[in-house]
Parts: sequence; structure tokens; C-alpha cells
Amino acid sequence: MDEFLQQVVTGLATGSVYGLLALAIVLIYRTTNVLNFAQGEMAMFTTFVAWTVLQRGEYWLMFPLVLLMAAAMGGFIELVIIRRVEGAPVLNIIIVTLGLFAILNNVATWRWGGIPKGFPAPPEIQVTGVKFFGEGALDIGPTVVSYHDLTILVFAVAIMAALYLFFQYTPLGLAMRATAQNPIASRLMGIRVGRMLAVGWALSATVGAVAGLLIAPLILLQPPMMMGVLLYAFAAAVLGGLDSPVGAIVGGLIIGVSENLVGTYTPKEWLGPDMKLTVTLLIIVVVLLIRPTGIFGRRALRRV
Amino acid sequence: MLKLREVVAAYGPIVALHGVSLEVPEGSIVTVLGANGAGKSTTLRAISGLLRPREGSIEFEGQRIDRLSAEQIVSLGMSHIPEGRQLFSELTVLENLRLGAYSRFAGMASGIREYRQRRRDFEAALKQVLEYFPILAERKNQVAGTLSGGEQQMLAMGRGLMARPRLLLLDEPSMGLAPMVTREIFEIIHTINRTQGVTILLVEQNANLALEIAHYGYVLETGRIALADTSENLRKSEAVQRSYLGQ
Amino acid sequence: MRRLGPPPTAKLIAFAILAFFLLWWVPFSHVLPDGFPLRFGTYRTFQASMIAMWAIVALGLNILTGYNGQISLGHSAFVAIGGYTAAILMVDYGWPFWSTIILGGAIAGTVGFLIGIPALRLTGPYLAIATLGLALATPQILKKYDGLTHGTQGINVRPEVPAAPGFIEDWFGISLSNDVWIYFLALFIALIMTILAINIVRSRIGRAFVAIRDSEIAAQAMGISVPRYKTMAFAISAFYAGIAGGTYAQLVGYVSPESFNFLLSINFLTTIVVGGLASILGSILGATGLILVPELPGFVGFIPGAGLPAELSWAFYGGALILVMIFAPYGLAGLFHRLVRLSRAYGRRLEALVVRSPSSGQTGAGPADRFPQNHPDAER
Repeated sequence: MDEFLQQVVTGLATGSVYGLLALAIVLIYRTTNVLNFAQGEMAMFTTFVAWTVLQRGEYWLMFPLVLLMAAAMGGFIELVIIRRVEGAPVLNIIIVTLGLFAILNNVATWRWGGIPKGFPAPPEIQVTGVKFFGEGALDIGPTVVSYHDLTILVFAVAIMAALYLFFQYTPLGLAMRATAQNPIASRLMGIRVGRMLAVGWALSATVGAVAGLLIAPLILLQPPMMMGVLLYAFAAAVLGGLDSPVGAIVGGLIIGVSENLVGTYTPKEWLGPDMKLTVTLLIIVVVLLIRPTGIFGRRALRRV
Repeated sequence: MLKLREVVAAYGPIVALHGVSLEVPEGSIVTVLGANGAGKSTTLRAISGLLRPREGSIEFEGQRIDRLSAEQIVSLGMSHIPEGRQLFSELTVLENLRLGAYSRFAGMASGIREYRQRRRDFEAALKQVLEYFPILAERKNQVAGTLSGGEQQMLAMGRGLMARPRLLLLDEPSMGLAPMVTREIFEIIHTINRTQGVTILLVEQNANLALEIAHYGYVLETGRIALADTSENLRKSEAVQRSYLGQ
Repeated sequence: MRRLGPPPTAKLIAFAILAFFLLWWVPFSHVLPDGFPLRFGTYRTFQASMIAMWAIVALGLNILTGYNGQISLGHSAFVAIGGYTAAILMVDYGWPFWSTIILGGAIAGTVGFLIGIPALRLTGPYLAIATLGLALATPQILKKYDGLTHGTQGINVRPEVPAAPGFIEDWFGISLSNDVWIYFLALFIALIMTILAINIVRSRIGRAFVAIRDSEIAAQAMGISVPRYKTMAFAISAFYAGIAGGTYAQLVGYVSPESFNFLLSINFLTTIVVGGLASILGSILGATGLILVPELPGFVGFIPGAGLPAELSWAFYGGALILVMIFAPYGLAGLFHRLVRLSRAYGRRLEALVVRSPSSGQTGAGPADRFPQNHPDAER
């Protein structure tokens, strides 16, 4: 039983990482109906920039700076590149994101490639006696969780909650939802559709940047680092429902946990850890068959 | 209030309007009639900024608007309720109405006082819209896509009214609606014009109803104005009677 | 652009003969002196065979995604099925090559049909990611069940790949080397599959596909059985991929789990979008681009000042993709058609000048030239 709980807890930790990146994916999908295949590379890129900044400054100074820079990058990409294919068939836009993927990956390799670098975990901060980040691990019952992992989980949930509130209860959030659903009607309401799209991309890049900063300490900082995570993140986003921030996190957590459990508890000869990706994907497909737009997804309405 | 002069509009190589001129006096209801494909919706789109005219000019309250974007035009006091309603079908009724008022309270309020004033304006507009369309109050939190056709049209109009426009562009409000519901809606349109003085440009295929409430009318045929007269004269005209009133 | 009914068989045969005529000398061009512009060495011949093979996949995928509107990121799995079936049958069971290719296609097609059934429930991005999952799972599955698949080491087909079959030497008196033979084999198969694709696309089936893509509900209302045709589309496209896979086994001579990873699937999608969705020509152009574009940076380097550091060639590729999507939203095939229209209009103008007759004044725009909702001139 103890081992089971430990597997679950570790799974939650990995899962929240997938969930964060999935959140960024959902953000862009929600506002522009596009699957952004460059999401991981954008996060990787901003993390490398963060690393460069870290050579000269300290962590908590770097953090907000990098987030700002990520937002600018996201908005810039939307304005300069995505805007030019606005209105094109969705597949075209997906290809554009693939092109972005190639560009970001290549430039990062060229500039920072070579030896993988270490990236520091966020240093400890104390908020009213509660410790966030930092070294060491916490004992919760029979399981052990590192502070870093725990804080990732907390961050993920907090960002998810913030985004949910933003979209549901603020005028800007409402305008962004409207833009995604019906750009023509939105323009007639006086909504600057272009601006909404740029904001969507900026937000998404920022969330992705956070994901990158939190994941980097766990795996080495190198150009290919986000590629595996990206695929899991897509799976998580789809599982939870592509237009649901809550779904993204929940999807990530489910994938994290099920991966671990499948790896450990299925017979080794014909499943086992070698097949954990396959089985996880199978589970996702089964869920999708029951709920074709994901667990929390909503896009089923369509008029003739 | 609204003047179109020799407006030419096209969709790529297909020219839809071949030099349309019309006028909408303040406080009146003007209707544009015509068969399918005559260019009625295109006219409205050119006015509201969704389609940029190739030639000609459009003036609203003395100001040239044909080079402005749709977002800018909305904030000048004009609301376009498009063909097919174009509701945000996954948002609730209330959210749709909120969005209607977006042009009025977008952007940062400069201080608490303005913020409060905007809230008050919004509440007032909402109250009025719900008075016109009480059914919407009942369905406040219902998802727009699940409303009936008539309710959706009411929501679309309510949404357009939230911005307190001085000019309302209505594109085929009767489309797809049962006769009784249509009557109801037309009565409300008439009331809005009478009690609030909102100028209305009404594009319609249902010539009978349109001519009943309109002051003036234009008949559009393949992108050109074929007839322009008071609605009374149009109703009496033989040509109109044959082609559009089914006599 | 769209004629009703399949083109007359005579036309198709003429097309096949023409294509063959244009391409038969590729492997033989090495008899031309060095440096001659159209001389192709063995490597180019290999590339041409690759183009033929990927064109087959592209044709199939375009039928599913371009004509029927279902996005699949999992076609590397079907290619794998075809390739592995062929390899296993040839190496472990000694089957003749042609039957392994056919069987590879058939099995892939059947699996495709089975996949098409759950796919009925999914749409758009959900379907895309689910099929991506299929592509991701394939290498894992191939590695795991190594009793059948020889696991990570893959299967080496080379020794079994026959030289050109005996009758060619007997009938034509020439002996072909392996790669030349394979080139012709691939070309032949590609030609057949292209003709088949043209027929499918212009038949009732093809029209049903397009109807479903444009509006499932309307298609249903017209009496088209949506589930039937959607699964059919999956089966056909998987069949194509399987055939290509079987050919791959011949061509490359080696299959391994990693040869068929998800990157391949993504490349396929890029191919058909860049080449041109719902276009036979587009599939072929796209496949050509896929193989030849990586050469471009080296080629561009000949222009003084335009050379790129070799390490940035992927960035160049990405940039090229983006530019193509911006300036050629209908793909290479779209560009081609635009060129054709322009030259026709130009030709008409010339004609009018020369003949001095009151011309009809029509521009090249044909009847409602596929006025798409998002025509660049339509909305601001």
C-alpha cells in the first residue's frame, strides 16, 4: 500500500509538470483554435534565456523578468507570424507552428547547444512560516515528496485557478472567450480581435515559461528537453478537454499517475514499464470515446 | 444620419454592390428590400465595417466611416445585428448581453468614480433590454445555443441594444422565425424606434412586415437601387406588389 | 478545376505513359557526361524512388485529410505495418516480394478500417492527438513484441530483395542493377496508386468524402452513410500507407522500430498541407518537396551572400514552411493552379490584342471560383 501511495504521489508531481504545459496549450487553443506544436520549444527557449540572465542576476529577480520577456515573445509571435495566416484553414496554422518549432529548436541549439546545463531549482522562500521550494523533502504519511515537486503542484493548481477566474469573471477574459467562438460577432461588439489573440499568445507563453523554469531543474537544460513533455502535455490537454484549464491540470495529473501505476503494476512480459506510454495512450483513447471532447471539454454544440 | 454615396463593394472578383446610394434620416425606420443575393446583407456589412467598400463613401453623422474598422465604428454609436444572429452560442444569455456593452466599458476606467458610473450605465441598459425582452430575464444563465429561434433573435437584438446605439442595423430579423414570433419582434422594433428615437436600417425579405413599420424604403436588385420611396408609396406601387408582396 | 465523373480510361493510360516517358531515364542518365544538368547519379535515383514512395503515402493521407477532412497524425503506424509485414514475410517465411507488398497494404488497410471505427467519435484536434498517440505507441509496440518483430534490432531485408526478376533480362535483354530495378518498381507502383487515387476522387466515393468533409449533417441528410464512408477513407489511406511501407522495405532494405516514429507522421502531414490539400498534384509535389527541400540550403549557398551557416538549416526549413503557408495557403498545387490561371488570362489578353476582336472582357475567374469563406478580399 505504501508503495502504491508513493507511486501516486510521484505521479502527481510529474503530472503537474505535464499539466502546466498543457495549460499553455489550452490557452492558445481556447483563444485561437490552434494546436500550438511550438509550445514546448517556446518554453525551452525562455528557459535558456533565463539561464543566461541567471549568470548575472539572482533567481527571484530573473523570474518576473523572464515572464515578461516570454509574454512579449508570445505577443510578438502572434502579431508577426500567426496574424499573417489568420483565417487560413487550421491545418495551415498548425504547420506554421511546426515551422516555429524548427526555428526555435535550431536557434537554441546553435546558440546554447552542446553540453547540457544544470538549471537551479527555485531557492527557498518562506511565506508566513510555510516553506516553498528549496531543498529537501517532506514526509506526508508513508510517502516522501520533495519540496520542489510539491511546490510545482501548488503552482499548477494556483495558476489554473487564476486562469479559470480570469476567463469566467473578468471582461477581458469574457472578450477572449467570445473571440475564440465567433470573431465576426466579436468585432461587432467592438472587441479588437487581433489584440485578444496577441494577449492569448502572450499569456500562454508566460505559463509555458513558468513550466519550463520549474521543469528544468528536474531534467538537464538542453534543447531537446521539452519534446517528450510536449507530447504528454498534448495528451493531457486533450484528455481534460482542450478548452478547459481545469481539464489540462487534471489531465496531466491523471497521466502522471497512470503512467507510474501502469509501469509498476502490469505484468512485465507483455506490458510493464516498456509499454507504459502505450497503455496510457490507450486509456486516453478510451476516455475520449466516452467523452469525445475530453473530461471537462464543452465544444459539442454545433448548429446546422 | 447615414449617407451612402455610390458605394461599390465586392468579395474578391465578385462585385456585389454596383454603386449604391441611400440615406437614412435620423429617427426614422428605413427598410431595404430585395430578393436573395440582391446585396442587402453586403450593404449592411459595408456600413458596419466588416467589408471595406471599393469605391464610394459612407457618412455617419457627418463623419466618413468607410475607411474605419468594425471595432471603431461600433464605438461611434452604431450596432449591427447580423444575418443569422451570430450569437456566442456557448456563452450564457447574460454573458452575451455583457459583451454587447463591451464597447462602452472596455479599457481601463480612470478611477473609481468612472468605474461606478459605468456599472450604473450597464445596469440601466440591462434593465431596459430585459424590459423589452422579459423572456431573456428568465433565461439569464442559459447557454445561448439552447434558446429557441425567436429567443435567439431577441437576444441578438438585446445584445445590440446594450451599447445604447443611435443607429441600429438589422439584417433579416424574421429569418427562420414563426409568423407570430416575427410579429412580436417587429412590434418591439417599432417600439424602440418610437420611444427611444433609435434610427433603424432594416434589411428584410418579408416586405409586408417591413413596409408596415418603416417610413422609407429602398428596393435593391442585383446590387443596384431599383426603387426608393416612402413606404406608403412602395406598398401601393404595382412593381413592388407583384415582386415582393405577392399580389 | 472539378470535372464530374472519372476521366476516360484512354486519358489515364495516356497520362501513365507520359509519366513513364518523362521519368524512365532517371536511373540511366548516368551515361550522360558529368556535370550535365540532368544527369542523376545513384543517390538521385534513390531519392527519386523515395519521392515515389512518399507520394503514395501522401496520396492516401490526402484522401483522408484533404478530401474527407479527418486529421490523422498516425500514418507512420500504417507504414510500419506495411513495412514490417513485408519484411517478416520475406525474411522469416520466404514470400516473394510482390505479394508481401500487397499483403502489407491489405493488413494496413484492415487495421486502418478498425481504427476508423472509434475515430468516428472523435473530431478535429481530438482525433489528431488520438492518432498521434497511435504513432507514439508504434515504436514501443514494435520493440516489445520482438518474438514477431525481431525487436530493437530490426529486420534486415537486403539479402532477400531480388535483383530484377528474370523475365526482364529475357525480354528486354538488359540487366538492371538492384537500385535501378527498385526505382522502376517504385515508379510503377506509384503510377498505379495515382491512377487509382484519381479514380476514387472523381467517383461517387470521392464526392461523398468531400460532402462529408464540408458538412456531415448535410451529407447525412442527402442519404450518404457517414460512418461507412469515413471508415472507408481511413481504410483506403491506411492501405496506401501500407503499400508504401512494403515498398520501403524493398527500397531501404531494413526496417526497425525507430524508422517509423511520430516525426514521420508529422512530416506526412506537412507534406500534404504544403503540397496542397485535396489535390492529387499536391500530394506528388509535396512528396517531392519533402525529399528535396533539405538540399536547398546547400543549393542556396551558391548564390553569393545568401549562404547560411549549416547549423541553421532547420531554422531555414522552418522559416520556409511559414513563408509557404503565408504566401501559398493552398499549397504548391494552389500556386501551380494560380500560375495556370494567370497564364491563361495573359494568353487571352494577348489574343485579344492580336485578333482585335471585341473580347468578352472576362477575367480568369471561373464560376464561383471556390469562393472560400476566408478569401483574403472578403473580410477586413
